[in-house]
Amino acid sequence: MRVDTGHGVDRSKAVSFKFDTKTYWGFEGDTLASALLANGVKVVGRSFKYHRPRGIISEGSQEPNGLVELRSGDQTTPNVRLTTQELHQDLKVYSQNHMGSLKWDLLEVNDLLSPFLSAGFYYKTFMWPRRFWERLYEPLIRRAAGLGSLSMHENKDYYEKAFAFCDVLVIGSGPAGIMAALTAAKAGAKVILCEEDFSFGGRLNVENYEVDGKPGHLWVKERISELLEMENVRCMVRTTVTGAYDGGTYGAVQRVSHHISEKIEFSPIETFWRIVAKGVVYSAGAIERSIAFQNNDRPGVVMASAARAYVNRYGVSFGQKAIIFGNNNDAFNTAKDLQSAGIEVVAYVDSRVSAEIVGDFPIFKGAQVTNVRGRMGVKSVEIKTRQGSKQILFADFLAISGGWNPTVHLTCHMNGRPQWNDKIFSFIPVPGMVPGLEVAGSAAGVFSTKGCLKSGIFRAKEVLDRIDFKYKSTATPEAEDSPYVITPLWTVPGEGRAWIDFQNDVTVKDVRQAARENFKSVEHMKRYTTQGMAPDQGKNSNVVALAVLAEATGQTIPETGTTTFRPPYSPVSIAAMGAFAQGKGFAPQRFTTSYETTVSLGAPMIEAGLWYRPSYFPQEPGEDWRHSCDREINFVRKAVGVTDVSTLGKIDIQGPDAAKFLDFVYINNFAKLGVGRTRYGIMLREDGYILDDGTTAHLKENHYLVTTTTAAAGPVMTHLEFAKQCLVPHLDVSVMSVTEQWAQFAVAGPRSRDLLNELLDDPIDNQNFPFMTCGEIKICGVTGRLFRISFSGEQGYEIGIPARYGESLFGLLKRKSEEYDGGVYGMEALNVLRIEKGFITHAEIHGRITAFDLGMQGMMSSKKDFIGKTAAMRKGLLEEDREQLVGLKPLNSDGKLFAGSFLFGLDSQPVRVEQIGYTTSVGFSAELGSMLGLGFLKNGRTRSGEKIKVVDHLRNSETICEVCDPVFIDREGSRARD
Amino acid sequence: MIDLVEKTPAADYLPISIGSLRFSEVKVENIFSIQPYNSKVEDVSKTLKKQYGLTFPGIGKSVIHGTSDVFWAGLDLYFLIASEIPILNAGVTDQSDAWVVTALTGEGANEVLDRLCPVDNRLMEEGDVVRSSIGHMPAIIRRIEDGFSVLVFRSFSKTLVHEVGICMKSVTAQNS
Repeated sequence: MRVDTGHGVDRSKAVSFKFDTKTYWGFEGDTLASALLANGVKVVGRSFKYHRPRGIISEGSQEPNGLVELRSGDQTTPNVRLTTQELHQDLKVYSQNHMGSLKWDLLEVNDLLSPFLSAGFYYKTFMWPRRFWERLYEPLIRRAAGLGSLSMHENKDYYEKAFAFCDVLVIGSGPAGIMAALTAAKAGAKVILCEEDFSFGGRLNVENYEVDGKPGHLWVKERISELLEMENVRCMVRTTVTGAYDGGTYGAVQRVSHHISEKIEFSPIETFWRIVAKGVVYSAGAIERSIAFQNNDRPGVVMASAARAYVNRYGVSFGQKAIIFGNNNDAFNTAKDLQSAGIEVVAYVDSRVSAEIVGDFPIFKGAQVTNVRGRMGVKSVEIKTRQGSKQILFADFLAISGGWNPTVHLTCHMNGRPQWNDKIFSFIPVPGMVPGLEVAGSAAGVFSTKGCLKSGIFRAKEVLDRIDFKYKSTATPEAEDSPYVITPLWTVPGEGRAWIDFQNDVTVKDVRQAARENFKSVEHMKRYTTQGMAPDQGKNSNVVALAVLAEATGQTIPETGTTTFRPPYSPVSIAAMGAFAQGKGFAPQRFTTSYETTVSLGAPMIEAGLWYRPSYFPQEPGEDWRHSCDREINFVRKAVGVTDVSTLGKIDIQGPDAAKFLDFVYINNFAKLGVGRTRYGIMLREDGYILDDGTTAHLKENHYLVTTTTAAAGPVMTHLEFAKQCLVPHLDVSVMSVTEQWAQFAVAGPRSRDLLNELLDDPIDNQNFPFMTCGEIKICGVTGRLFRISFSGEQGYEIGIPARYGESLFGLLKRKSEEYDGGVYGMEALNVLRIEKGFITHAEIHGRITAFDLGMQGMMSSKKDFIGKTAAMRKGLLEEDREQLVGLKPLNSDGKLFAGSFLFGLDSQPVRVEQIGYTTSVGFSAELGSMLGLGFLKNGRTRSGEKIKVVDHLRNSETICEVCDPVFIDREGSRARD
Repeated sequence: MIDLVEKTPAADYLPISIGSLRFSEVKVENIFSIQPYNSKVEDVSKTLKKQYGLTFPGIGKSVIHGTSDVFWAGLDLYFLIASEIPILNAGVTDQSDAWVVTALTGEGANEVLDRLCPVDNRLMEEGDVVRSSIGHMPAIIRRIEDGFSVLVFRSFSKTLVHEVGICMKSVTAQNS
């Protein structure tokens, strides 16, 4: 219901919204929670396990009950907290976690079954019969579990991520935060002030306190205006700092458009910030805790601080008749504020006998609330007086205060543990839990307004000292400085279920049962009962649960300790964390200069690292890949084929010691490679296994070009940089990637030279440009590089040209190749061509392969040192029974082969212990009329001619193959040399 | 003779203008990488001075002299924008076609970079250079008079324009 108070809403601006099927009205400045309360809506959701009706209990992000689905267009956002969602026109939210309507939830039957559903029941219940687990129990539990639902449509909303930097990050804008921000800002520090709420001020927005003689919320407005005028200050409202990470980095989620009706395209719903701060003042306040007693979860049983917050800020009351139940002085503020707003205070129940409370309403000292009646809303409250008598009082809401817990969550994110404080009966942060972070105000256990103001100034100075900023003295504003007096009360003895964790339906009995069943460690208790999990992360329940566990185990609370706090402090949308990474945004894309032409030819593209390369070129739409592939192979074997090989890494090596450097990184010798010559080489890792292979061209004196495979271009560059900087820093050598400078095309096939000679300014022949040579050429008047190398086994060249001409040259080569009855070819054809020749790729050199395994141990020079030499010479890496590269050919020409199959002896069972190798690459050879495979076989080189079984267990295939030399065609290599 | 046609990396994608922001390709005829051998930066710098009238800048800096321009690009690595290849006792490569050179300018350019690059771009003064990343792409970023010059590998051009373009829209929408 509305009352006449409330500075935070604009009563001239009415706003309509929809909750479930009904339309309601609220005011601008309302949250959904305050607007629903104003409309007398008491039940807003159903509890997780027992489906009990639940109402709003708090006014902040700690809210455990008021979780709803927000639907907008195709999108559904589950678990939106009513207490943080600002009201805007035409907002549509729906209650969640019920079967049937919110009022008549069929699953409330769970509540009747509660004696059988206590903590850990599923661990005991769903054990038998065993086969029921997968078929029955798991699907059932999965259907019942989880809060809220998703639309199952693609997310079309825009979310984003961003970085921010500052000298001082202030988390929370209550009295401590504001004074910390002002102190730091006036010292000239670059300040970011983050506030979770949509208004700055923290408790000053919801209390009736004055600061410097002004109402708290007005004082806040003035101070924020002051901060906003300073260029070095950034005030971020609706921004929750969710995690503390290494190096002074903090995660924060900003709600950018959740509160706007008319969404602007590309204005994000949320932004996930990574804020890097030199120092931090953490002033995130404290959260009031409840007291556990029978039916303390009934709608209308609320936190005392929330009751006055709604009255003071929004002009909204939970009801007309209130009972207040507390164990500390602060609860009395609720009684005062409610009474001022015209709410009848039916009774003030204080568990302390010696409480110093005076008011013109019935006061029960030394009394306790023992039960609440009213399933869909409080109707009456049962109290036990100091004298032990039972009284029934009639009211429509009950406001509770069990004391305040400093919000220690974020201070524990780097594995620090908070310390128990005997004065406030709660945990407080310990200095140094997060490097560079100082805790101020009630987050540090300082509970008076003046104390908070003072603490903010002091902690800001501590931070400024550390980051070398000079500051002036700042006077502490005048404010109330009342002491916080509390006598702990965690639970009220009695029958029935007393609730600790409303979000997870955990009761006092559950925690005690966990202890009885020896889940005595707090971490075990948490997992056994689920206390402290889910969206609220135990913000409301942790300390009470620890107190109950401590009592049940006979330990003190500090001995019991806390569970581990982990980010995020409050839920962050996956969409915000994954912003920019949806769909193709997952990884950047690299395109060759021939990409547009290739796509226009209808070629399906495949990813190779970040690059996109053509799989094959269909002659007509829908043509089968095998037909395309066979045709393209034929281009190369019979005429001329052209393909883009720009994606292969190209690393430029220069300097007087370039040859020495190459000798150091390659297993074979490069010192004697003549200018204009090209040589194949293998690089090892330090552990003796192959890192990569490729050709190196000697372009000019002291100038080489190393080529790498596409996938290993980055790792090889890193490897060479490491070698240069750390292993051989004395060498005069430079290492630079030129991959992107050159568009490079393979022109392969018996007519390749003829084609090139049509385009080269100076024609070549087999004598002046023999196999494995390289040189500078001019093609159509443009200076380029030509390499006589072949990955197909045919007469072949690779022509490099500055990338600006790449698209043009590719088109030209395509046209010319077609004139020779050839054409462009893709990766499928390239793969078959190289398999037929036994050439390897990273399918073979996959990280566990040595030069010996490939039969290339002879390349390892004995006359020089090179990276990986010593390790490669280890006995185990040279043993004959290692798996060695072999060719595999099915005995029947229609035999199928699959990469990743296992090899077995003909008489062996195809089981794990019998496997003697595996296939790495397969393809259909049109030239040989059957599939061919490469693979690794134990002692493979001596088994040529043997028959083995190739088994693919996943595809249910078994093929008898003959073990062959990996080079299937033109073993002499004469075609490449012609 | 057949003429091959030149094409700049972002010719199909840039320029774009959104609100007060503009993202355009900068045509640079020649870029050369220079790596003095064995850290002999001083010696090479002196030779460079004779040839182009400028010396190597400090770490994270750049120097412009006439039509020539040299900027720091990594450990003992400099990029020279000049009309001709320098003759130096250093490893020199042609990088003219390896990079897409772009300019992100206008009010809000800082905020666009905030969304893509983990660098405090507000600390950068005109001529300052960082090697960082932009939307997961390795990048060279230089502060220019009214914004930033952004260089990424040529092959990333399309992704760069896509990522920067989206953030330009976002910043414009949020500032409107």
